[in-house]
Amino acid sequence: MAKGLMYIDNIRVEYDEEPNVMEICRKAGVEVPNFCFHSDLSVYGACRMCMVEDEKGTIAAACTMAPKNGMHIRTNTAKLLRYRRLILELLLAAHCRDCTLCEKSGNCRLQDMAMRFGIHNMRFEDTRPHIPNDETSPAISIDYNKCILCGDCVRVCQEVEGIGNLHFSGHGPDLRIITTGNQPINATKCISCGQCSAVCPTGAIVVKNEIGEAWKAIHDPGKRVVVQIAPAVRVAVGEAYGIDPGENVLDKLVAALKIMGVDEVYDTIFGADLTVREEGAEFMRRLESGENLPLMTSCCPAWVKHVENDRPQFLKNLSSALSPMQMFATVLKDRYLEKDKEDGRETYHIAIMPCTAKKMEAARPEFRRFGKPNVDLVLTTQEVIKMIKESGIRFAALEKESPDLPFGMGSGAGEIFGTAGGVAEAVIRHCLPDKSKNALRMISNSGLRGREQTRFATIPIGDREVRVAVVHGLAAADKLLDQIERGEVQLDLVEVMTCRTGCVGGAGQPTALMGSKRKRADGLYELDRSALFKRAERNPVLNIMYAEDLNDRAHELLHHKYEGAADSENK
Amino acid sequence: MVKEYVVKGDVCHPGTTVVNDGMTIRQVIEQAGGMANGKAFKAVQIGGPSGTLLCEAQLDLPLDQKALAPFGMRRGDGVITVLDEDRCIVDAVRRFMEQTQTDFCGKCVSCREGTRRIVELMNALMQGILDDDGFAILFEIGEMISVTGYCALGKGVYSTLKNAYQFFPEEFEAHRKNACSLCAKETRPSIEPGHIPYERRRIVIDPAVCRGCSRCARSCHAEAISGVIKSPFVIDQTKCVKCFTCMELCAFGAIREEEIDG
Repeated sequence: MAKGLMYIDNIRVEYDEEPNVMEICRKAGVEVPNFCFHSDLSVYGACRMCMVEDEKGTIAAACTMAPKNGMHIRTNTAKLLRYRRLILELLLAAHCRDCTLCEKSGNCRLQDMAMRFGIHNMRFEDTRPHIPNDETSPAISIDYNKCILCGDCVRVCQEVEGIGNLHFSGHGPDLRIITTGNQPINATKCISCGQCSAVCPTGAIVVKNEIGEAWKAIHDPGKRVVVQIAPAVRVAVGEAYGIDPGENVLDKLVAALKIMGVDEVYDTIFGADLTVREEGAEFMRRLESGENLPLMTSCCPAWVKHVENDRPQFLKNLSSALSPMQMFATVLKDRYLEKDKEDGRETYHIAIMPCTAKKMEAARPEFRRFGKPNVDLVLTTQEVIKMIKESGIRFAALEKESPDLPFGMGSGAGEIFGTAGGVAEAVIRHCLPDKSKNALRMISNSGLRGREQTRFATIPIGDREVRVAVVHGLAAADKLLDQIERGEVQLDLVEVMTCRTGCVGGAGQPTALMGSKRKRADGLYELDRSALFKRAERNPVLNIMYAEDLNDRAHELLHHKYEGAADSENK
Repeated sequence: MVKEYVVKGDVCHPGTTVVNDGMTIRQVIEQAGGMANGKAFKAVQIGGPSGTLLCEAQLDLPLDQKALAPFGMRRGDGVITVLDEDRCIVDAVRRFMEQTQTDFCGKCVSCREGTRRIVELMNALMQGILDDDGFAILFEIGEMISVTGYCALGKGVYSTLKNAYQFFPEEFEAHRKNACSLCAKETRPSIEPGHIPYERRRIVIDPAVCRGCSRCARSCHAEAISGVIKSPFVIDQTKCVKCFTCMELCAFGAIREEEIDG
């Protein structure tokens, strides 16, 4: 039974749990123009674009208006359109209008709105003082002059990630966004998760663009460009070409990269299988000895950074197994040492990731061997989409092509690394002695999958009941850490993903709402179901490598003990 | 109910005044000593940003939010600014709009960007370089803020501008032709409706009234007041912290608050 009934532009809508008129308008199929409204964040009500009129002629913002039974809401009266137009014009007047030069062009909500309202002439001059850009972060670029002060980045940093590194400063016409202490962003506790850039409606915060580096390497005959593609990328990259979110387009992406001139294309799920085996072994060791439990995953670089910054007491809990990207890169570079000598070409490794923090991880000083970074360049999904567009490739019409061997194959467990809960599930699959189909079903139904931000599951391994928690969004993770510290929950394995819904909702992905992110996650679970083998230990290439020499060198190549931000800088 | 208001501007005794229920605006002005220098009343701004501007015709209305609501009065901040016949209304509105730039939070777009543009347009109007389009935009923006603003403070700014134009359209027209007779002969510092921001106020001792009793100097926390007994004392503005202690203690009412022009 619905709570009440409303009329949005004479469309009858029943509402139930919707907290404001904006959500009910969406339900009725009317997207009221707005800049500062996000379903996942608190309501701020600053942009004033979402004004609607009720039956009495009262005009108020839809995002802050509480629904009432029997309301008649009009969203497009002459008055409202006039006000919205003027507000938009005022916003644009205080905004850089060099759209063709902007990183966000084509994907910008302000630009989109200006086109929808047909603002073609400007009656005001831009009289604001110029603020210099902040390019110090390895992951994001900030252009304060393009900021429209909607506060989305401030709220996502505080409410979803719990970092609170962005703030409002000043008031009136001097209002602006600053980082903590007005420092350059790399001097703050920014974890490079990039969620601020994902919610920014304009080009004020964008993912650092390194396409130029990629082209340079591809066109350099002295370099062998080897690419790895993360699981979350394959279910999102098609969205830019009209393909549904969740549909696997890895084959097309491989074909596109080959056309662009990449030498070899591999799959990060191979690295994920390595991570599962190493982390699984580490988990079993810790479970036996009972030391440093719960084991916390270290796949997410933003999470690792957060522990180093704010929760150093949990550093000992972090798994020493590298992230799949780094596992893959170290093994690859190690295997290609001889090859490089043979044909005199240098291996240049590009990782295509859904993540901005991976750019930060790749630049960390400890992930270098022989004076070179293991991963030479990290490209986000967005950047790859731009490169494909730049090449003029008709992506949707491409012939399929498989990733190369030997590092182009992996298990279904590797595929689900791209979703929140996937890493824990993969590790449990590896550790569980029961290798039957029923066991797989038991794990997937144990509570590791789902929609809640913090999920708990208890799974019997041997004679032990192993308690697992999965958490996405660092604000929720911080709460869980507090509970662990106070001894309120006893856990053996904790998976933490910084971004909501895990890597599929990463900041490097095409901007999407929660619905599409969930579809991407479903796509990965679908891939797992159709995978040739579901467990990391079944990977034949890995088995051969372990049989050869990897077993002895695993500690040297595949592990790193995080000892805190201060220590790593001294190295 | 008894309320306290601050009356400032062109009245004989600026300062706080107690207003009883049902008192009219005229009575309040008379209670503050009536119009200064024998000049005639022109207009009064009540309530600062969320208040409104009224003229002679509304003087006999009670000073009450409900009674003044039809004229655009919202909550109001308890400051009454009285303007005499020689004050230019356009200048007063401009100063009032400038004050919003130092007082307002800047959260919502309509108020932050809107008031900034209104100030720009008012400055252009003062200089006589505002064209017809600009003049129309001025009121277009004002109306937009009054409907779409986030809070009463922002929504309220338009009523002062609207009423000023409604009551004194000829002065606006004169300014558009850059031929305001009032501004031409005005020598006094311009007046700002609403409260005076800290950095723009100054406390001074009137030498004609001061008897040199030294009470203010002895009570000053900042040791900013000096002088010789039985001759007028002076306040060192660089030391003064504007705490009003001296003003409250002075037995002769010789100390008053002034607005620094600028």
